[in-house]
Amino acid sequence: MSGLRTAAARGSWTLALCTLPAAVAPIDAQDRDRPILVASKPFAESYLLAEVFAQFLEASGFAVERRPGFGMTELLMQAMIAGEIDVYPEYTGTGLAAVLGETAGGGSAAVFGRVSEEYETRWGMRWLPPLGFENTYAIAMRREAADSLGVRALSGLTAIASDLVGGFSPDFIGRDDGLDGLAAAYGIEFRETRSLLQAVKYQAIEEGAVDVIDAYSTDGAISRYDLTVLTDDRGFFPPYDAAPLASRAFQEERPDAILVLTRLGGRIDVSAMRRANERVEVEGRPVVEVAAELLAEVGLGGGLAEEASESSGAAVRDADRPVLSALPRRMWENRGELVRQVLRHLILVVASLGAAMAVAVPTGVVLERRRALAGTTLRVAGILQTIPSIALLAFMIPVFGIGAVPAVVALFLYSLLPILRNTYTGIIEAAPNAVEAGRALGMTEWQLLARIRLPLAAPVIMAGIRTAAVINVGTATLAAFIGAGGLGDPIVAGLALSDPVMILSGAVPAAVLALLVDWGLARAEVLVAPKGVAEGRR
Amino acid sequence: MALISVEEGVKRYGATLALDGVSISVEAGDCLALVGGSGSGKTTLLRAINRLTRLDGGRVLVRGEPVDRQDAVRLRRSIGYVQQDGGLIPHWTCLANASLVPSLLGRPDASDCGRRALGAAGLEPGEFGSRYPRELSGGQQQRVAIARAIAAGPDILLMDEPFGALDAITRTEAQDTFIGLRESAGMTACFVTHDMAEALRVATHVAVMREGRIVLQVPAGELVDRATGYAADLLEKSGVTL
Repeated sequence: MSGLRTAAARGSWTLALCTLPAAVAPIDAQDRDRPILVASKPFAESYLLAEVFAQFLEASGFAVERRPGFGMTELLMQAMIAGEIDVYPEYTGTGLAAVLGETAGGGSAAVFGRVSEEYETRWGMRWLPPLGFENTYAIAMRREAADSLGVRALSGLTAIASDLVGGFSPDFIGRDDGLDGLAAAYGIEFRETRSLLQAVKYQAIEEGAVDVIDAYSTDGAISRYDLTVLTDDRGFFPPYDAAPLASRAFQEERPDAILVLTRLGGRIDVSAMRRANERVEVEGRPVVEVAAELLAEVGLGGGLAEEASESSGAAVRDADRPVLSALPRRMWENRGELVRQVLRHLILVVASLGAAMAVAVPTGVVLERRRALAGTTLRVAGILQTIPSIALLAFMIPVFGIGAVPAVVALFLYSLLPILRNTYTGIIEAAPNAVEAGRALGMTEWQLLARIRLPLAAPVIMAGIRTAAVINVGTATLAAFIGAGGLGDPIVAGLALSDPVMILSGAVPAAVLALLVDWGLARAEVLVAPKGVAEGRR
Repeated sequence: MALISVEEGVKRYGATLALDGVSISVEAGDCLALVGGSGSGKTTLLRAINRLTRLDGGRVLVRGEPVDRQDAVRLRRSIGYVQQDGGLIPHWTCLANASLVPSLLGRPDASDCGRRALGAAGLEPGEFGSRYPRELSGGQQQRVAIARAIAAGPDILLMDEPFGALDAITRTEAQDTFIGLRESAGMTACFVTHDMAEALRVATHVAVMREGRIVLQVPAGELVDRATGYAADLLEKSGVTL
C-alpha cells in the first residue's frame, strides 16, 4: 500500500512537470514576442475596456493574453510593479485618491496631470490618453424612495441617513475617497452599512434590503432597476476619467503597442460606454462580442464585430430564462472551455497535493521519531491553515508572481496540515504493542516502519490526503483571482458580470469534482486498509 | 555457567531510581521468576537483558558477554520475548507472526519453523495458521505469541507477565504448555509476574523485588521456608499457604 501511495505521488509530479510550463505564461522580460498581458478589474466595464484593448492590439498584429477580472486596485498595482501584467484600464480618480491618497483638486485635466506625474516618478508607469468618458461614483436610491423622501442631492441625505441602510462595495467602504470621505463631506451617518458585491447590490436595493448604494455613472443597471442618482452637490468625488495604464516594462519593450493604445484616446464617449455596459449587464451578452461592437461603433473596428458575433453568437444569454434550465445549455455550449477549466483545475489540485504528500508523509514519519518537534511543527502547519485562502493567495504574488505557480504553492501549504497530522497520529497509533514486540524480537526500526507502522497507518494517512484534496478542489476556485485559471474563472467573471448562470457553470462542476474526488479517495482508503484489522474492510 | 547475569544494575527515570544496584544470575536450564508489585523495577530489569532498556550503571552479560558490546538487533533475534498483551502484528496471519524471527534471520525454512512452533504451543497450524490475530481468543493469541518467541529455537526466553491477562483456567493451561515446552527444549527463561503462586508453579528460582532492589533470591523449593517480611506478605496475598 505504500507502493500505491508513492506511485500516486510520482504520477502527480510527472503530470505537473509536463503541464505546468505550458500552463503558466512564460514571462521573460527580454522576449519581444511574448504576448501582451492585458488585465482588468472584476466588473463589467473593466472587462469590456480590457477586451477593447486586447482586440485593438490583436487587430494591429500583437499577440495578447487576457487576465480578465484580475483583481482590485491594490492587487493590480502589485502585479504592475512586479511586471506581471502590462496594461489595464484604470480611472484617474482612483489613482489619485486610492493609490496616491490625495484629495481632489481641480478638474479632469489637473487630476490626469497629477497622477501621470506621480506614477511616472514612483513606478515608471504611464497613463495613456483618457478614453473620452468619465465613470464617477454615483450614489443611487430607488426612484420611488427618493421621490417620496424628496431627495435629489447628496446633501439631502444628511438629515435622513440615520433611517437608511447603505449597501456598498467592499472597495468603496474601505477607502478614504469612498464611504468615509463621503460621510465626512456631507455629514452622513447611515443606520447600518452593509458590504455587498457588485453581483448582488442591485438585487438588494430592488428588494428593499438596502436603501442607498454606490454605483458607477456609466452603469447600465441604473436605468434597468429604475434608480435615481443623487447629485454630488459639494463636488466630493474627483473626476474618474478612464484610461489605459501601462507598466514600465511594457513601455520599454513595446513602444509600438503603446502607440496603438494611444489611438483609443478620446474615442469612447459616455453614451457609447453606457450602451455597451447595458448590453453586457442588462442584456447579458458576451463581453467579447460587445467589445467588438463598441470598437466598430467608434470607428476603430474592422470586421472584428462580425467575426466575434459569429464565433460566440450561440452563447447569447437569455436573461429571462430560469437559471436552472439555462445552465445545462450554457455548459454544453462551452463544453470545450469547461473541459479545459476542469483539467486546469485538476492540475492545480494534483500538483499541490502531490507536493504536499511528498513533503508531509516523510515529515510525519520523522516527527514520530522526534516527538519534541511534533507540537511546534503541527502548530506551524495549523497556523498556515488558518490564513484565509484569499489572503494566502495574495501573499504569494510578491514572491511568485501570478498564475499557476503561486496558486499551487498556496494550495500546497493548505494541504500540509491534514496529511502531516494524519501521518503523525496514524504512525503513533499503529498497534504500539505490536511495534514493541517486533522491536523486542529484533526487527530494525526500518522494518518496523515499512512492515508494521506504515501499512497500519495507510488508511489514516489516506484520510488526511482525502481531506486535503477536497479542501483543495474548493480553494482552487479562488485561485482564479490571481490568474491561475480553472473552474474559478467562470465564478469570478460571473460575480463581476452579475451573471448567475456563469457563476454556476463554474461552481457546479467544482462541487461535482469535489464529490468525485471525495468518493474516489474514500475507495482508496478502503483499498489501502490492511487485511485482518477491521471487519468489513476489503 | 550463568547464561544471564546482571551485576549492580542501576537505572534512573528522572528522579526515581527504578533499579538500585540489582544483581541476578540465571544458570543454563533454569527459570527465574521476577516477582514484585508494580513499580518494583522487575520489568525494567527484564528489558535490560535484551537491551530494550539501557542501564545507567552496572552491566548485563548474556552468554558471558556484556550486552553493550553485542549488536542489539542480533542479540534480540537470539532471545525469545513474550509480552503481556501478546503484541501480535494485527495485519499478519498467525503463521506469519509465528515465523517472524526465522524470517528476520533469513532462514529458508521460516514457515516450517513457524508451523512447528504453533504446534508446540498447542495450536493446530492448519487450522490457526491462516487466521488473523483478532479472530483468536486471548488465550490462543498468547499461545501464538509464545510460538513466535520460540520459533527460531532460542536458548533464552524472556517473558513480561505472559499469563497476566488470561482467566484462571486458560492461564493454568497456558502455564502447563509453557512448562512442558521449556523443559523439553532445555530453554533458560526469565519472566516477570506479580503472582507468587505462578512463580512457584512455573519457575525453578524466584527473585522478589521491591523499590528497585532484590529482597530475596532463592530456589523455588526453598521460597516458602525462607520468605520473611515483604516476601511473606506477597506469598500470603497470592493465596499460597505457609
